[in-house]
Amino acid sequence: MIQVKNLTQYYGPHKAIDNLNFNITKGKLVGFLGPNGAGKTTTMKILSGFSMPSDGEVLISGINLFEQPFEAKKHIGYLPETPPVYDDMSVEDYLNFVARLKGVEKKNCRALVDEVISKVQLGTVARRPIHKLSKGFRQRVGLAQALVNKPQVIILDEPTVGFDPKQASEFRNLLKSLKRDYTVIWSTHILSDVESTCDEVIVINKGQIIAQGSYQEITKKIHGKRQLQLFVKERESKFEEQIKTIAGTSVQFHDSDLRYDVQYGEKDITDDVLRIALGLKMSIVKMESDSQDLESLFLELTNPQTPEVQT
Amino acid sequence: MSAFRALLRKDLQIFFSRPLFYFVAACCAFIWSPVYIYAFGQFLSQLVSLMGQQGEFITFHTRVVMDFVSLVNFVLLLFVNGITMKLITEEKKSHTFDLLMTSPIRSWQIVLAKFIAGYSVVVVLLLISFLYPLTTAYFGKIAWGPLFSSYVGLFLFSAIYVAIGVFASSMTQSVLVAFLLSVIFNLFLWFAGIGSEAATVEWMVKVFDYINFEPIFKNFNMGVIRVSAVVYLLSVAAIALVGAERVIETSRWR
Repeated sequence: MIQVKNLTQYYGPHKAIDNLNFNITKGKLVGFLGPNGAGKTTTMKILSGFSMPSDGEVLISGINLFEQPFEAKKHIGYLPETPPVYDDMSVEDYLNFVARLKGVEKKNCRALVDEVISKVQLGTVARRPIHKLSKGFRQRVGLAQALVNKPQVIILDEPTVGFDPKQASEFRNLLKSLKRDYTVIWSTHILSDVESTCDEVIVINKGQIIAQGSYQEITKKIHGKRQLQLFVKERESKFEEQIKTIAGTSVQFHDSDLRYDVQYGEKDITDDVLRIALGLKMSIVKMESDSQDLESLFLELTNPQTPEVQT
Repeated sequence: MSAFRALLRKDLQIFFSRPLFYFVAACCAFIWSPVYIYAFGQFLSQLVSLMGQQGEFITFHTRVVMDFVSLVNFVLLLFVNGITMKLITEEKKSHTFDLLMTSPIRSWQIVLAKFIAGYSVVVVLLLISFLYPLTTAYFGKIAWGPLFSSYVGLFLFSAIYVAIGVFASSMTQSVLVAFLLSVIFNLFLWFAGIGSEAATVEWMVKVFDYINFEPIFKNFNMGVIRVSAVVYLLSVAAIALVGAERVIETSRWR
């Protein structure tokens, strides 16, 4: 749905983004993660058709964005950090205007606007002037304008900056409910946004992609193996013996907190570990997947000593 | 074209729904009315005093319309900048420029929509100003030819003011800077005659003379419409609009 090939952008002698390559398939919600100044907004502006790159190619639904911008933009919905709204207009009038601006025929506008108002839950404020809305609602209006012409691709550039936790959570839930209908790329540096919502992550730093894939895939690539932590009431030596019979696994026990660390490879062994533990009638206090939280993963990835990770 | 029409419609709605337009229209009427009434009164008293005298000849156009049209032009020169200063700067300031740039609308369509919206406001103001000689015509005979020529000049010069305003507003995010730039560009064209007097090199004198608005405006006001003048004025407006389009288009590369 979104294909990015060798995308490079210079600002004078400074290379803001450097030879980016990635594909996002239909129906995926992908987090575009990076520290401030990593090149996220530059990339989003190029993908939205706002800016032209110094080099490279972007295909939106197979249409070259730079050769046929007029056609390609019909398939794009874009929400920048500050929602592009006209304060004087009512929500309904504004969405009607955007629909027409995006090339929707007049006779179809009414139905599309009603549909998006209901989808983004703006019904209670539809006739209110935008300047009277809270930040959360303004951002919803911004999201509604990105969706109103039923684009296939949605580009979100840090839309939750400045939200309180409740607003951020509502916005994430809204996105989750939409993701089956659209292909979404969501630029952010708020890790909780991505962790709870996205199917995949692209991590960018200093203009280059340093990791790409699901969290589990990225974690595995960094650490070689995945890990399961099992907290028990007492040590059971037979458990260790039986776990070792599963190909490609190893196990260690930590006396300090009565914890087994089970390392494993490609195949998920959670069911096997549970089956063995229950077979031995062990008392399990809790079990955790090893995968690091995104914050530590992010810090590790943006550390200059961490090698590049592509999955 | 639906995007172009949508943008134009939106801009027209904004212009005519905001108090600024009505304030500007009221200010124009406030300035024009007493001046017109005074000039008309002077004309009537001169006419009465000249009655019966041979060889003396005055016309309504030379004594009233010409001064009035000059005043209308001067007022528009100042006020149009206030109308156009927000045309593109406000889009940039409120981030709606992002929406325009990522929508299937071309840069020249954005510029043209902004120009037509701004010019429509000016046309309404010009029509208000036209009510004054029109009212006089209701009570007596006036020379329609020179009046028509004066208003052709006004329409053309106003188009330049709006086009330059659009160009200035495309260059900055600050409304104040856009206003000042617009005033400076417009005044430069009006006062190029001073440059002509000050210039010592012959080619510079010629250039300043050529771009100077004042003699061109005088010709229109005296009832002379030259094709070369019309082409020149339309060219200046077109250059300003192309400049605005280039500024918007190059923002994609910055």
